[in-house]
Amino acid sequence: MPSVASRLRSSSAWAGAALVAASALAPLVFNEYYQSFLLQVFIAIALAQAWNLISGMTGYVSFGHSAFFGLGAYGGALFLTWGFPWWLAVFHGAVVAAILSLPLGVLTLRLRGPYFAIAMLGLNEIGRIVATLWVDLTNGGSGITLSPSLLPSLGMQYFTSLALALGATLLVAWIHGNRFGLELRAIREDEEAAEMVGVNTTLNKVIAFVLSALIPGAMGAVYVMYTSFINPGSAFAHTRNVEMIVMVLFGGSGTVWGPIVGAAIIMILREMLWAEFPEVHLALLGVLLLVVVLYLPGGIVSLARRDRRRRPDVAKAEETPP
Amino acid sequence: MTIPACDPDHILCVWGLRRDFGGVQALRGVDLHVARGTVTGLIGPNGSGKTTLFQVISGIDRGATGTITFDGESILGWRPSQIYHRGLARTFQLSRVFPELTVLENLVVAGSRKDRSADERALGLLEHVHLRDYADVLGKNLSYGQQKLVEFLRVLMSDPALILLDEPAAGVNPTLRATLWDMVRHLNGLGTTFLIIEHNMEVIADLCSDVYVLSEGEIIARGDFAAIRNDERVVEAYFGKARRQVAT
Amino acid sequence: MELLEPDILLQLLIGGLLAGALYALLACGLNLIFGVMRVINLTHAELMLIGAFGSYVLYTAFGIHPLISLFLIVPVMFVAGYYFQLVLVERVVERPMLDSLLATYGVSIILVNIGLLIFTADFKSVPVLQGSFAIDDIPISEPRAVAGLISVALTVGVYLFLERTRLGKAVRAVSEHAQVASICGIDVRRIRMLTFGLASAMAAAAGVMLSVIYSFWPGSGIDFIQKCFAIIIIGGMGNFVGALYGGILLGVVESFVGAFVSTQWGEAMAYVLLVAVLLIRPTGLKGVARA
Repeated sequence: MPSVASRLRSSSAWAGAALVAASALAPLVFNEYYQSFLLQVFIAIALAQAWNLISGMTGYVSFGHSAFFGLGAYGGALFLTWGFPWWLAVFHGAVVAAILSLPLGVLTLRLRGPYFAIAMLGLNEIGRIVATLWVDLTNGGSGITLSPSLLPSLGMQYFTSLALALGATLLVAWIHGNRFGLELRAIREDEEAAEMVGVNTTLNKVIAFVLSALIPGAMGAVYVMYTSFINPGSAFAHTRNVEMIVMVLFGGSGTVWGPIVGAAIIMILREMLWAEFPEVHLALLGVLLLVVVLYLPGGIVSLARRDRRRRPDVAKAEETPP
Repeated sequence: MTIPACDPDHILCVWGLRRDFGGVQALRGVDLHVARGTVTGLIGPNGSGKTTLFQVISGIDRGATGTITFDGESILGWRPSQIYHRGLARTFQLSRVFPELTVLENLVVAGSRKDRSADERALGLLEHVHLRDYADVLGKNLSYGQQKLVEFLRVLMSDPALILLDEPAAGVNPTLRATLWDMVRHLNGLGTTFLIIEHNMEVIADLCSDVYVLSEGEIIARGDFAAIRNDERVVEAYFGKARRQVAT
Repeated sequence: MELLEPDILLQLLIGGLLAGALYALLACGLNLIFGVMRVINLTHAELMLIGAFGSYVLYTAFGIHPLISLFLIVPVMFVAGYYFQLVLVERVVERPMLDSLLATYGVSIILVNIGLLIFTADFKSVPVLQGSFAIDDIPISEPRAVAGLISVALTVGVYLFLERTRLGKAVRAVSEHAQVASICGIDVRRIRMLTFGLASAMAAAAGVMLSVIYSFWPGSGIDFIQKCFAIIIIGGMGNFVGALYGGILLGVVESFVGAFVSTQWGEAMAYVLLVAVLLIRPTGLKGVARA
């Protein structure tokens, strides 16, 4: 490996370590308002990395990944109401999402490109509908309210979300550099050719999909603990879907830093706009999406590389039906 | 109907291969045997089904019936990646190099997962064709000829026993073409068997000890090149029926 | 069980057919865009809502009856769609389908939120047509009947346009094989712009019809676009008549399931059908949805 790249990598590793250290120390300096904000940023980063894994690296662009967030949220909420400790609830959220993602993945990953995207969009809606109709389990539209006694302190939530965001990033970074990541990228580039040179595309795709569901699952549970309330609308919210997509595409799809940069920028924008103008925030996301698709396929990170044309996740050879 | 056993001297045996595309019969009962260690040619007019045959043998096309035996095992219905790991590799007519992966990554991904020295092997192969300096270049930034060469090297990473080449030299400049055929000869000398689709008859004549002619989904002739080129049915397949039907 | 009375069944059937006609009008437009330029237009439901809100505004501000605003809104939306194609969609037409999917997704988000800013999330409707009439003792809701029949007329009209007129045949030629069509002298770009304009007009018309039957808010689009997907995947991507049948089928299924099971399950039928088709026959009944 050329020394320039390893130098870059170590400097970005240092930058990453510095950020983590700063985040760990932040509660000592900042008040609860900022801690809440950072907590949400960590949630966003973790979600973005998860989306990055299946969509940016493997090329299966999902328009409905918030479905797993929602599953994890309900999984976590239910575990809490059933009296389990909060950390087990987080674990449960991840497990529920991961277990359900297995059959769902096997089914939807048979579809290519835009059809997969739409199927995932439908899946999110189905999640919302099931949560609304299965009143016995989920309390339907009224949602589940959690009493504060069940919940951990803000500090614990903060560090949990930081740990998960860090874990998600490290996972993506590790995969990016290893053989599994190489095979995923080959699948993204040309799935048939990858199969032809010995890559077991089905197994790889499903593993990536399950991993990409597990993280939002855990984060959904963390979110529930933070808000102490969940209902179908907030669990399977569209805005989360949009944010996941735009954060990663805007930041730089298929890279390790892209989701972090994208999540940070968009969360800051959100913080400035949401309280007064949530519609403006979302409309702005739509504009950003357009800008990225039309002019900046590689995202912000590609500006640093001065290679605007680099848009890995749309390099598939064949998408249109015959 | 009993299926004849595949002679151990033959690395690939195909019996009665049929492939229908809803009315269009691409393959109508193809019988084909490739002897170990040979360079066997597959020729025929456009649309005769050559690429379809490759698609079926390599496992991409799963809709065929018949028998395919590779190295003693029946591989009909296997996934392409399983067939590849078993020792049968295949290149495509149009280059399918991974555009956003580097040349080195293109090669390494085709190697075995357990191979600790995959990088060195890949670099060695690149060295052989004077492309070592391109190791970190993205696939999409190569010239078309270079891409085809890299694609060829890619399938060598797993040391296959049989390689199906689909017009490997099409669109490649003469220098690289010569390099490619040299490699084929070299590898064949080391024991690799080749089945090559080609339109360039000089190459076929030069390289292939055995030639199959496919026309409209059927094998219409087989033999060495000299015998083939004079075969009436072959001429007819390429040039159409004789004068009798010209003027109407 | 009283529900099994033939009268009731007929009523449900007719209700379903009329609702289905509206879906068909919407889905056929979406399918047309897909057929001609291989673009999945995620703004389609918002185009419909523009028609619905347009009808609402014209009615509440100027007292114009929706059936009259139809004649105003449809041509305007045709032109709007024509230029939208020129300005935006043309840029992503040659690119992989995912790009146009993302771009139209972005525009749809912008439109929904502009709608929220202007109209808030309150439900709106145009309750101009009321009451019902009876045919053979079977009650039929008047607004649904009007909306359904107009939808059918428009859909059939577009179908005839595609089949019988020269321009329509040019459109079909481009959707079959754009390259060959252009060699034959057809201005493919113009055809694409025309197609988008036509589909936008169809969506807007469906929106005006919608405003008369249902109440809606800027976020209503998501349900409708999902129904459209279900319809065109069942009927076959790019297949105009398939979408027509699919739309009507969905309307009828929703009607019966809504009555026999629950309204919520009725609404969920589009998703159920979508999932079922994708699982069992990803190629759709007539077209190709899967790799």
